Amino acid sequence: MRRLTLSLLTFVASCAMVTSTSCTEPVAPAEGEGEGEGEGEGEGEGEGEGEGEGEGEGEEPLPPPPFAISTKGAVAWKRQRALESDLMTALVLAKGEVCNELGQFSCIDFVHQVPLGGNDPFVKSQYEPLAIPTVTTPIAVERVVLSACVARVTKDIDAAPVVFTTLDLGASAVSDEEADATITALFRRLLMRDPEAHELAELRGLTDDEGTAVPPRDFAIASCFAIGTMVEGLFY
Amino acid sequence: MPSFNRRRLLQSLGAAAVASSTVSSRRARAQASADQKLLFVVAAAGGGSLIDSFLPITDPGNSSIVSYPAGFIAESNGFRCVHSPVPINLGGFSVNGHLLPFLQRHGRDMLVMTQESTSVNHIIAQKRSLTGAGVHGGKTILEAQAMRHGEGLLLPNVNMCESGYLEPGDDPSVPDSARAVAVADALLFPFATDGFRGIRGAPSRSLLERARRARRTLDRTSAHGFTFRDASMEKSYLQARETLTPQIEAQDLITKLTAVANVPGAIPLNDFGLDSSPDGAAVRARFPDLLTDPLEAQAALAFLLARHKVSCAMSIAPSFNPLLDGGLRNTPLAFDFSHSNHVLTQYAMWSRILKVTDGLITLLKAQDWDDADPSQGKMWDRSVVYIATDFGRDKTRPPGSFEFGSGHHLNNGNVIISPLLRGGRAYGGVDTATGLTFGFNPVTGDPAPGTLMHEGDVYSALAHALDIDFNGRTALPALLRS
Repeated sequence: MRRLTLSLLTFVASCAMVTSTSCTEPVAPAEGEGEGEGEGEGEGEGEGEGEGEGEGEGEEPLPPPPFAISTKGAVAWKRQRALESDLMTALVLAKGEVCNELGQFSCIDFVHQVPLGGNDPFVKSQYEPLAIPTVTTPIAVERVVLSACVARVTKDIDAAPVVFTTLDLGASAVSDEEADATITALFRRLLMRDPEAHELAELRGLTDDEGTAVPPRDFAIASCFAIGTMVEGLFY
Repeated sequence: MPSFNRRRLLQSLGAAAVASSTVSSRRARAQASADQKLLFVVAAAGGGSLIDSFLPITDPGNSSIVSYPAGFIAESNGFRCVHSPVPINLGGFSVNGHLLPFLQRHGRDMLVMTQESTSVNHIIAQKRSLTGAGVHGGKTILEAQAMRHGEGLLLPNVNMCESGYLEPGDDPSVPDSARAVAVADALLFPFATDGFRGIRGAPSRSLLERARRARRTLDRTSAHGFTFRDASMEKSYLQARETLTPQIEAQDLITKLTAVANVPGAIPLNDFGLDSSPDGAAVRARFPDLLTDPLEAQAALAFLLARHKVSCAMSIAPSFNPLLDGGLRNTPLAFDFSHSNHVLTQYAMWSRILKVTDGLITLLKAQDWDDADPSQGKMWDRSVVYIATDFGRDKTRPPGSFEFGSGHHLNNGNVIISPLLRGGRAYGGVDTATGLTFGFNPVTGDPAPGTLMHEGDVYSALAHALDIDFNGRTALPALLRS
């Protein structure tokens, strides 16, 4: 028994240390299947629309992961204060500018405080915050980030741009060069790194809507929203 | 016929959202139509005392037991209740009683069940009032209800309470879907049901949906995404984002759950592309102060969640903070202000709780369960309202006094209103010499001095009404409708 435990530990340790695909390769195909399974299979069969294609539908098979998979998976949730602070820093916004529902109710301090991981012991007698995100947390995150992105773009249109300096926000289309520069700037501001080539390519697609050019203003908001709500920026 | 690629069509999150929501909706309605039941917990936070509401003792004269003169006790539908013929004065504010009107309207569906709890610590007692002191493996009755009747619902268990009433149960086997969604502000909760709507200046939904799809790819291919693909917290988050969010948005809950009306300048819904619920007018008629009274707003949201088959377990509670709005609507510390002024606090807070409960039940009685099939009856036909409370209050007072403070006491009881149980009577009784409640025969329902029921028995009564079976459930045939 001890020997078996030891060998398992050795295997896990070697997987964690190796950055090649040797240990993780067999896991790779499960990514596409795993994510598509719940929606595709269940609904397809239930409504007779599946035709046996449901599983993994909508997901191209991924290449083998070039990184080792964390065996502990111990991530921390970036809760409401840190989220607000990071958005303020990244998008150069004041506290009151980040997100206000109906233009008056603070998303961070009030409306979405609980699903974003906060709690109010004084007014609401909530003595503990949620241990983990709740089902409405993703929506709350999206509203906060989208509001902050809209606020930043609006300010950059109304005055000398601060964040979207490489875009002509009044133009009718976005060039690839402008898109790449904007995406790179947003990655650096929101995720503290440069985008990979495939990430640039993916987001560059937001400049075009089935042959119609997306206005730079909308591209700026959409790309800001996509990058700002990536799980990479919400869990660490 | 326009040519389209089916794969691409299904790749469209919008299409998937519509499809999945339709399926979900159908599943929910199929499930709901069969045997679904509804649980509403109204928490009498701070200690609502039964001998100060529906089991009052008549004062024989200068008694040192908490009791009331005969002129302050009324009768209706087989119950007695504390009732002041004139509005009472609490801290300079006038309070109209609502116990007697409540009995007159709902007494036949109401039962009182005596019990003695196991803690006089607020937070512990509050939690035990929902877990039955652990009788069902630690599950709260709300979690058990969500597990039993929540399949196919988007947010089966919504908890708007505070403190111990907000705490999750202790059973780790409760699935995430049955755990409570905590709602801090009922009026603004609908904003948490759509990622985009109501954000002025946002680009088109179609572009933002494309941004979501791009993000999904980025999340799956980033170094972080690979490294933490098995992190349970992230997986859970992504599951909610990719599966539940589209379903929630497709139900247009941001409209259906918005009880408040468009109020230019104050609540400018229309300026932000939003609107009030189609049920808003009916809800506001019952809860006219929902803009200023959080308890009314909670009750309104509870009704709308059930009405639109979003949830089956909803809980509401008055705040521990005072509410001064044309009168003392909510005492500081809710029922626990009895420490300072027992009689008036109990009367004011019972009236407050029952007035809101009355509004909720009235809405449930008026609303068909299925708009398309009135033969399925009203929402009320499958509802249980449980007035939970922490514990009772002291049974003694300075002889004959009406101005005294009371401490916490284990001995008390609960009120349940439901057409699913045999209402119109009190189960158990009160020893007028001590003010202590005693139990009842679970088969006949007859009073049984010398016996006591406990939190687990109340939990069992609720479980019977809600078709929740578990090992250790107390058999209570006396409470069941034949």
